[in-house]
Amino acid sequence: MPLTVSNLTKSYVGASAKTINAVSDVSFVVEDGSFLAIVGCSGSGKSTLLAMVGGISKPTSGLVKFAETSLWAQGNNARADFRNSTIGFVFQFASLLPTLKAIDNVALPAMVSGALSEKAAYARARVLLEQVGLAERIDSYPGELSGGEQRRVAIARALINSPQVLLADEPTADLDEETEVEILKLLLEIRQAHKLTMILVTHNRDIAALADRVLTMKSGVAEISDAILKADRAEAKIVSHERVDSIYAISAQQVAGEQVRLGVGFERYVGRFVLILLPLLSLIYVANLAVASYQQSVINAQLDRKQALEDLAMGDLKAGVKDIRMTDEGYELDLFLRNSKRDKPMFVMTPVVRVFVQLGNSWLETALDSSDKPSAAVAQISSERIFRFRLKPNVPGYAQLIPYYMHVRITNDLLVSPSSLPKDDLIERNDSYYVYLKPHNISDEVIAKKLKFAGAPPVYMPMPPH
Amino acid sequence: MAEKQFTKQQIKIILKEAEASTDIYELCLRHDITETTLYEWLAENTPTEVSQGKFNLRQFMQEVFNGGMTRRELLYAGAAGVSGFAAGNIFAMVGNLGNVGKLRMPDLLHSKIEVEDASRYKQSTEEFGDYLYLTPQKLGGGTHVVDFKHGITLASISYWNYGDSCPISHHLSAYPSSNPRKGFEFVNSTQGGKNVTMYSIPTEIEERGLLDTWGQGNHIYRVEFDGTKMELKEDIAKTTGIGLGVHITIFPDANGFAAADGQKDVCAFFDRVSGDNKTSVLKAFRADWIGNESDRNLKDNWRKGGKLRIVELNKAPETGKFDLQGTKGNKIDWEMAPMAENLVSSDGIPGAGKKSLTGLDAVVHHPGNKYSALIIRMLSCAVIVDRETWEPVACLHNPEHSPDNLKVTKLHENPNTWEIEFDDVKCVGHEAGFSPDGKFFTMMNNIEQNNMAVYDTSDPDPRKWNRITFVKDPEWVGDFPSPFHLCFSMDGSKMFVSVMHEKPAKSGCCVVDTKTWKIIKKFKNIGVDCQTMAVSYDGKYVFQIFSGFQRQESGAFVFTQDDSLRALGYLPNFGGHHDCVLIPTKKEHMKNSRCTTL
Repeated sequence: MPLTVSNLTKSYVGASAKTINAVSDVSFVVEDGSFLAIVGCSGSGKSTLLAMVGGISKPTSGLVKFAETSLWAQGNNARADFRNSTIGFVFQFASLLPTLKAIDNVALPAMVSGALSEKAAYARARVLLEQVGLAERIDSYPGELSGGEQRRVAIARALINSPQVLLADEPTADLDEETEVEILKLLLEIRQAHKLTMILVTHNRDIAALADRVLTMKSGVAEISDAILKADRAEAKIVSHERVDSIYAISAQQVAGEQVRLGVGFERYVGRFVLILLPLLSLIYVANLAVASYQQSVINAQLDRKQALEDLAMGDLKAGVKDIRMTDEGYELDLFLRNSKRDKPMFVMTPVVRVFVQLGNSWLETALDSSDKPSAAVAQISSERIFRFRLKPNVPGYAQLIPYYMHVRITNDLLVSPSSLPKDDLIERNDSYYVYLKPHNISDEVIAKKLKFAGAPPVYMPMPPH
Repeated sequence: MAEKQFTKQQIKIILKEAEASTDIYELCLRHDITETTLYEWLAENTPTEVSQGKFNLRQFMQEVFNGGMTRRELLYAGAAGVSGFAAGNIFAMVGNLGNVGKLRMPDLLHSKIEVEDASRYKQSTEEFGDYLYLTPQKLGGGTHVVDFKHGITLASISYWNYGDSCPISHHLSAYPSSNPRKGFEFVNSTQGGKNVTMYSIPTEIEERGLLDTWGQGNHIYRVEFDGTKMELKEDIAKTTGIGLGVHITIFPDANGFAAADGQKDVCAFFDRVSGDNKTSVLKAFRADWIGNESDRNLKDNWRKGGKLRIVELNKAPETGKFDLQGTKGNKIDWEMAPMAENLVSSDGIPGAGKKSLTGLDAVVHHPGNKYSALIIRMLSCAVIVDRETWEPVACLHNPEHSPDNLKVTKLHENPNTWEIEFDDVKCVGHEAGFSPDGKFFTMMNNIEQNNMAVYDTSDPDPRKWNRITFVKDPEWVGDFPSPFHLCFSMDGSKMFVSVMHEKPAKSGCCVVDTKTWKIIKKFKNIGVDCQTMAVSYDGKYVFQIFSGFQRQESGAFVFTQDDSLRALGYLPNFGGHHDCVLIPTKKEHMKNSRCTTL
């Protein structure tokens, strides 16, 4: 397919409205089946020119015509279709998809374009890979291929849609010299065998010398000269016509025998995952479950112990005011501790009891004597046990929420354990008991005038538990 | 040519240089970049170069294979795998159609500041259904309503704002409203007076005179929520002269309500009014106890039997009102806390009328809307009153080994007076309720006996209602733990019972199968002092409130009504609450609201 480029210009507008001409008014013609080399130093505009010719980068002005088709006059979709079916690209880097095998990488563009059936795409990809000398590496992943081999795959991929034009942008840029020559030779062979029109961007003037014409780019401007035909070109004619025909004439048998490979890798990947990772993950998962279950059982056991301890101290242990009696000078207070579950042992540190009387809006502590100090600091509570205290509150002007009566708060701090030598099985219980306490210096008759009782006004009136 | 890596900052500097430079080729050479790279950078950093077309997957894929992507993009594509990359772009595309620039891989990596609308998260309690949840704050002195839709309190009321100098917001019941968010009405009783002295608060409220006229409590407040705020419409105690501070229960037909007070032994039935209209009393009764052995040991005053007298109360002709406001008519100076009936019989609560105390502090209604039960604590009985004739017709007596249905004898008229004889009183009782189908009545026996008597109430004649069984638990021994409040599931298949433990132990609740009357599940250690319960009318949830003596820990424990009886957790609340009601949205919801059960 002949290619005509007329007055092609690419300019960019920077943020400060400065226009930068990357390619300036370049025109040339590449005849059907001929080979144009573009040379020039870095930044001379050769890649940009190729990108415009290849339909990748839109020119600011100018024309690119493949035979009678004007490339940039087409819509996006049409241009993409045209590009995919007509032009083959080989770039500076192989740009293979690393998760796909060589044959998948080659077959994929044909499958995307829909030009070939999936099986046919694979059949052609196989032939192309054989042709670029990779018959043995069809199922290799890009990571398993050398730089030169990767470039061969990229060339095969460029040919999958039977392009009539091959564009190559420094396809050997990162290869060593020996491989570079090998790949360029291959490209030339392929071009000749497929009778392709080819544009090759290269900085290598020796390679350029093999072209029919050479276009030299300098600061975006082109100079065109005819190249001298070298003997190498004749040497490159190693691809027979027979083989070329076989590329485009894949037999029905070949197609039928071909397998769609895309996804096989994925299956293998999944397979590997299932075979190796899954049992491993399952093992980790089971181990994790076992550890979690064990941890949970330990936590539950701790919670159960804590709850049992709380039930023991807050529920099973009953505590409160048993009685308050008036004595000549003060009061005798009996506090009881009762183990309501007699079958369960229960040990209590000697209760710390304090008594307060309301004065104004606050509580004033009053002195307290313990009449029967327990012999041991820790008392076993097996049934009911009484702790007796003597108090003589002297709080002039105490608050009278109930006429004449003192408002009294008795606090009782207990340490409770099911064991006589507790370790971590110890819990604190802080009780407050509230009573209204009859004063000494007011007669029952006086009280009875304001508070009605069936009998004599009681020494104390207990409030509901707190 | 190996490509050098440049930072964004370096790229910006090179582009700046390019703008100023006259020799772009020299620039590329100096930075060891190709012009293509430079132009790629320019395109990426110049907004006018971004294509505005729709994303075309096919074209995009062809660009991938034809090398139309930057190497960096290809690298990402390789790393992510083609499918993942494409999928990532497609997902990005869904949220960003028409902005291809956003679809490019590098942009996917850009961080963004997320802004979210907080109001969308007003759903924390939505699971509990489309209901408003009304709870009095007891010592907090008011009531608030929470919308389950978003967990926000819609409105609250504080009675001291209206001149009540000691409002203890005690019990309430709400009338059905088809759209409670637009408005609903409720009735709220308060206590006051000496009741404030039993919470062991070192207060000077008495000395400061706040327990005088308007601090004596026993107000019956009628409140309306208008969709925005709550407004006190009427103090029914002031209007009628009857002040009662304990349970409020609306009739099943929602045309009125009953209130009671165990310090006065008075219950009254009121009509329903709204707006600025004034409530009137349909009927009021007082209960009095005449002990057979009232002069001996005070305990024997009740234990040895006697007569329960029900007297119809009349208004004073001069005032057209009753004379029972504030503390007027109190037999004891403060209420009997749960399980504190023994404090009365041991003379531990002062009061002028103690020996005649019956402890009539609640009325519950049979869902058939004809009979109401007057709940009498000191005698553990329920006097059934016909609300059409206003005659007491039967007396259900709960203690085990006692006759279950006592005869009611009318003594005389003017005032109408009835009497019921008790051979003995084996135990005290407390809360009670009817099943939503009206086939069962149950009431707690407490202290000496600790169980729940269950009656078959399916016969149209209450004189034929008979006790069929007792709900028992081996743990219910002595004063505590003891069954306390109750309610039923919407389908009536289960009865939920709060179980009171003595502080500092935490209370719990249990579930009873109403076919067998056996306990099938217990929730232990819910919180200190479990109080009344409520069920959601969609049949999904049970709300067990708890409130440690009205000013300690409080909340609501939630579990499911269905057979899974699954615990869900706790709802917060805004004060020590003592009751709770989900605003009924239909009249039939009353059967499961504060009407049939306590």
